[in-house]
Amino acid sequence: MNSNFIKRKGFSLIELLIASSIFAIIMVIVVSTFSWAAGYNNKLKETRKTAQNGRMIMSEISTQVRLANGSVKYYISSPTTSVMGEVVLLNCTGSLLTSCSPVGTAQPARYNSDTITEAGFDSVSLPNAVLILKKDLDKNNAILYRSVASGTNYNFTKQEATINDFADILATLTSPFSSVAPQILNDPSISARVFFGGYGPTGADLSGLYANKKQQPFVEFYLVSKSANYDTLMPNNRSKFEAKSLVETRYYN
Amino acid sequence: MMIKIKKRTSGFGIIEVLISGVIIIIVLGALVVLARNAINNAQYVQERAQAVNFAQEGMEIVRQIRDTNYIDGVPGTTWKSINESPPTEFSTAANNAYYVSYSASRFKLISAASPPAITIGGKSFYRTVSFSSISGKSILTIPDNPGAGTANGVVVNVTVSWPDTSTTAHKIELKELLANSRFQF
Repeated sequence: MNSNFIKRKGFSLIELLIASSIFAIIMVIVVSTFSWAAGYNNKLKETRKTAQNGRMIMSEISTQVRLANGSVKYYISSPTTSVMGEVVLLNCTGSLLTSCSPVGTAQPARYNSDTITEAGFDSVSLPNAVLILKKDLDKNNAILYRSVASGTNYNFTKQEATINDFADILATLTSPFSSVAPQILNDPSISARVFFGGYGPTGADLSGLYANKKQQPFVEFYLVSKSANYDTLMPNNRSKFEAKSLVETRYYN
Repeated sequence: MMIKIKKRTSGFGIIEVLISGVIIIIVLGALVVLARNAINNAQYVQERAQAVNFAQEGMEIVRQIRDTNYIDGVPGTTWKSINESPPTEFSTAANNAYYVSYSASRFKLISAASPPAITIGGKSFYRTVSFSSISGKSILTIPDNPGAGTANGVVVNVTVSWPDTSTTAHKIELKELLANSRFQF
């Protein structure tokens, strides 16, 4: 049998349409899953980074406040000297050390609310730096923690100095620290900012050094650790970690 | 001679294509669930860190109240006082929970069954403080060891709980022994 008739087998239009639409549906699912996965990976990375930085800073401050052998002081006009063994709350208005001044008694002592928000803390202008003075066996250590603005972000920095005498440190705040480069404690891709609060003796409590101490001093701190340029990022690429805690100083006088 | 050329055009049938599509979707679905889990866990770790900080705060406030009572100069307050006027002592009875409040420049403990929410970053946490007796056991304190052989302290329990997105309650508990006396006093 000889057949000259060869049937050319191919795809019909319908087959082609069905095949390509199935392919398209699968591809849409696959591609969207992968782009979601890429986004989730970013989100996860940011969440981990902000929380880890936050925890690290919180434990650093807690440890140093516990080790501080002092009480919390606010700005007092007299005496301005002999703040040995103290924790001093400061308000820095700029990036320079000269912009830092002890918080006056007119400032709120602490953030007294159960709803803690970044905006709330900003609006009451709580102290944004703290000076911890530690007297070790053979030397005097001063640690200055503050949030330094860098564009729209903040770096949380630590400066440590060994000084001969704590006397007049408030008057010459810049001199022990001017030669010490600030050590940035947070990841540079994170904006970290800490506000401080605490008890400061006022009025009659201050007549005479250490006179009529009415309360065991404490330092409270509220931390915001968020992705740098937080406001300009898409929700998938950013994360924010906030935490608040309080530590009592262990020095009893 | 008859030559039969049987040419089988090998390819995928529609059923095969559909099955492979289903398999791909199942595998991707599993990966998505896994990734969601990872995100939820990261979220949980964040909230737990916040809760731990609140618990630490609660514990420090109890210490602060104890230490303040020694030096406040208010007659009638003992280290167990949770309020200076009138001086009131906390109870170590079971189910007696307190929450922390700050008024008139002082921390206070207020007895209540359910504490108010502490909200941070849009998330609400609930913190209670309770005390339990160490019943006859004593804490060694330096330098005097006052009240040795008697119950010279209490166990402080701080609990912080928070609901997660699926409204399952998470909870952490902190316990600490607090002595009646303190160093250098």
